[in-house]
Amino acid sequence: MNCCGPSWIGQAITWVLICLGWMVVNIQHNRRETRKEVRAALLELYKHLDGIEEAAFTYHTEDGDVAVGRRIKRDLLQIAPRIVMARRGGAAYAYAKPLGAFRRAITIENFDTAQFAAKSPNAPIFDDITAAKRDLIVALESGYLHTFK
Amino acid sequence: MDRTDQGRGAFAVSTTTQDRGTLAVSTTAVATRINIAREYSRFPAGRYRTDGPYSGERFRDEVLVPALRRGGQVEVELDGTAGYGSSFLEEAFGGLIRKHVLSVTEAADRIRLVTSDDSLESEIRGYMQR
Repeated sequence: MNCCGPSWIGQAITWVLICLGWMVVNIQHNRRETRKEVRAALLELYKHLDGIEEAAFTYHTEDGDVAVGRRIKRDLLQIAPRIVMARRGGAAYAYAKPLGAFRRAITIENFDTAQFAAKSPNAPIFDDITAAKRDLIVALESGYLHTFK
Repeated sequence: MDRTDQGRGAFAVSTTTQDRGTLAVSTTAVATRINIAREYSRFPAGRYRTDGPYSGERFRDEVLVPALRRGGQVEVELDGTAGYGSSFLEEAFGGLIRKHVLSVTEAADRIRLVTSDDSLESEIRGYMQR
């Protein structure tokens, strides 16, 4: 024993600091990886939304093809599970209303109907669809920023 | 008690009596469960009968309204279909209010929606509040 106490105390403190440092680095690393995974999932989802918007444009400007209509409904159905997939890391998204509004913008009128009428490319419905998609993306980005920034 | 009621029209609807304790209100004591994918169609589409065989109007008139007339709470399970158009949802559920089958309050009390997609419930509740 020297004047500053037993040497094992100093070694123990060193090891505790090393372990704590490792834990902090590990937590930060995991958090960073989760953030990247969530960002990648959201970017994929935004591409998915773009695809739906394009399909909606085709559906409403052309002949209201039943197959395109079914694809739109199927793709709309896949949005919520994709958002759930992007919930890692404690991320929460207030998506219910904007997603409902997006579905509504595309399918409330002139959809799955015997009275289909092709729209002109500059019809207001397309502005509504784009605005609803943007609102959904804003809601998702807000959730992401709230969780990871 | 579970029983499947298949003799009341084209669609099978399961009716379940649930014991909710002594404080249960009688109108919500019996829950009728409707699984749209299983008991109506996996491909519900369109607003009016003229739009197709599995329209919202037909679902409302031939499945939902008869279930509501039996009394109690009606639980509608939405998962399992190939997707919904808002026109179908609005006619099926919003039509209950528009056609005075239920008041807004009754609709909130008597229709229970079961879905993994929160946006569907939010959208339908919106139609039933107008």
